Amino acid sequence: MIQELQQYSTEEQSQIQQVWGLFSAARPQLRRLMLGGMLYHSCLPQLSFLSQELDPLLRIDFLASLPTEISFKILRHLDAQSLCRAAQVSTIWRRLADDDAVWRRICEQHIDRKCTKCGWGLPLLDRSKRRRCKEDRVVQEQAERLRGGMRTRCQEMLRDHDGLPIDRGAYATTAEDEQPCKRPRLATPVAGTNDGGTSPATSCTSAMARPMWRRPWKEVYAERAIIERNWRCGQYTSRVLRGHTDGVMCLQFDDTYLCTGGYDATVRVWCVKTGRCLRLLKGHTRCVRALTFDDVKLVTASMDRTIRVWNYRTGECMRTLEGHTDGVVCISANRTLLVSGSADATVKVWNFEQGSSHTLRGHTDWVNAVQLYRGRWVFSGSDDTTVRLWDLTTFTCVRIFRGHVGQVQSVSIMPSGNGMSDEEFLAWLALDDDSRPASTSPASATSTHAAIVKASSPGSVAGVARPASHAHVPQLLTGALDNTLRVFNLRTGECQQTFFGHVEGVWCLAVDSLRVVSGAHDKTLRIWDPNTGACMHALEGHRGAVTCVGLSDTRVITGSDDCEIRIWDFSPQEAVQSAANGFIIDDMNNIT
Amino acid sequence: MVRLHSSEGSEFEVERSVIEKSLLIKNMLDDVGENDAAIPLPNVSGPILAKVIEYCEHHRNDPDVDGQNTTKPGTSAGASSPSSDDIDEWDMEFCRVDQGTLYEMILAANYLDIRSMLDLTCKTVANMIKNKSPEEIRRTFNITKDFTPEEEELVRRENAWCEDR
Repeated sequence: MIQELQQYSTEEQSQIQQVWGLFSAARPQLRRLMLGGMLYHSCLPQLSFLSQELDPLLRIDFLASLPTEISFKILRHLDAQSLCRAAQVSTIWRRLADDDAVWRRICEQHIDRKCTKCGWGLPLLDRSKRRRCKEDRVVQEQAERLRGGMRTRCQEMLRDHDGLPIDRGAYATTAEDEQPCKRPRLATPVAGTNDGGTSPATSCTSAMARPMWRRPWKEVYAERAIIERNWRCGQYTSRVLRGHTDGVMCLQFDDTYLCTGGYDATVRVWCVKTGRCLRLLKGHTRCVRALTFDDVKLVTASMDRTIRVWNYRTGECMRTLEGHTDGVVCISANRTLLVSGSADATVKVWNFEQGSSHTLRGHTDWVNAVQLYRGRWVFSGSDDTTVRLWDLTTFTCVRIFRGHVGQVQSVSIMPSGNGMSDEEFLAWLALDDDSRPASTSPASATSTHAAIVKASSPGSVAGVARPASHAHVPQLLTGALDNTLRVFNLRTGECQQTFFGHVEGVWCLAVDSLRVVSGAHDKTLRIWDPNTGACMHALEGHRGAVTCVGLSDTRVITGSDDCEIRIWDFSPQEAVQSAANGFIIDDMNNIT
Repeated sequence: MVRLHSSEGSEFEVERSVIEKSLLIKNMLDDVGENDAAIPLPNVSGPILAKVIEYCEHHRNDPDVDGQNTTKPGTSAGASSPSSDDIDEWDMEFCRVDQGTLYEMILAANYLDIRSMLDLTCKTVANMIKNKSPEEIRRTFNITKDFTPEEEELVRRENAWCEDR
């Protein structure tokens, strides 16, 4: 502007400077008046000039100029992608948009839930760690219960557990090295990286005592977003574990151990990270059809009609349960109860605490799947194509779910029905009782239900009933040899949705809050969107029927008739690589 | 009626129930009691005060002035966060002003402590940021990129994960 001014004569220059001076010295009201007058005398080209000049001048760097707390208020309305782009605008924007408080909010909206705004959900990666802490608290409690039935063996086992045998220490070290499985907690993210070598129990307490190092929430979010993308795009690395000499029939895993059983009558305990077989459990005389483990025990069920309880750290068989008159096909357990389904068409409920057992009769063919729910109900799926719901307070069948036209091979509940208390669930379940088989429902059961329904006022019953349309209401998910997965309404017993895609019978399925996976006779593993029932991916690799499947935040593990176990890993590639490398060294040094 | 003086001294008269959307003024009135003296608002110019009053008039019957504090129990902090897509038509039109005015409206809403208006204006800015590339954002707000090429590359890599969907 000064340059332009110098083109003019001295007289003109001073005139212009005088005008500018007058203007800048004037009060706001006068300035407005002056501007108004100048506008009045301006012709169109001059107004156009003004308009052009004004546009950029009226642009304001809001985030940089506003007080910081208001800038955060603005950023709180942005989604993750917009925040990332905002961070690339300038130094100030980067500082603001990377702020921890802003990202914490984003994490709260998305992790372990589907965001109400964008429909996105991210995995809760700390599950294994949190569960372990919780389990350590109840181990003692459970030990008391088990002791009743298993006495000295059990004490021995617990001493092992508390005193941490060598191999466990080694796993703990390496488990901590593996980043993707050891996330800080959502509520209070804590460094999980230097707990190495300590027992889970001490690592929990020490983490609480230690000054907390918090990982940036943006980093937490980013990592999970990448995992989510891998799931969505079907990007995974796969590994094959070989060892079983016949078809693999059952498996379960956590972030450290994988247990598998199969037609070779053995049970194998593997290290999930290295894929190394740590232990071979022999004892069953026929095919191992089902297994379940927690921190203390491994329970296996076999076609030899027995159920065995093992200390899988020592490989010792602690107890054998007999009672079924034919092969035991499926089991489900919690701290005190073990439920088993058998080829003898019955379901047995074993109570470790009371040392008692009950038999549930109703199915007319093999019971292929059992699922304990809330410690009080059991779902059972059978070759007779039905699924039954049993109330363990009365040991009666309270619902029959019909719809499948093939043998039901797997049952699961999705989601876990969070937000409903047991009482609410009971009341909600009992509201519509048409499908309850009258003959099998004794008066006692009816009165219990009636009492609870009566206890809740009409208002609260409506309140309980309302979630029926809501996604959080638990639903039954089943897979059968009719090639489909079905979703049943627990209250009405109706089949609400059918997942089509498998071209041969579905042998197994697993669910979490974000997805459903299933394995079938068609040799594929399929990943489904639980809300829409759409098949997102069909993964191929096995050369035989996929008979069993397990699911975690980052992995699917499948077992097959081809004797192989496959680990489909959706973690970020680098992490898989480095964790695996790091582990192999540890593995060599510490294990065996 | 309450009398208000803007920064340049212009006077506005407004019903007490209307302007009590401003917690600042409400508290002032509660403390001092209603009297004839005009309330001076040295931080708010006349045109902006007019916008503020327009806003308060329109929203005078809204149920809860500071709805932010009364989130339903059970809804998580995340879920209760207001979505920036849910601006109604009148509010949208109300915020269709140049950036200078919007900027002053934000400051005024903050100073006068009118939560819903602060929220609305912040959302409006957020919507101006959304779905734009960094370069588009810079252009929108006339921001100069102050990164060195190395820094820019670093920041780009840091945030690359959000683009790859």
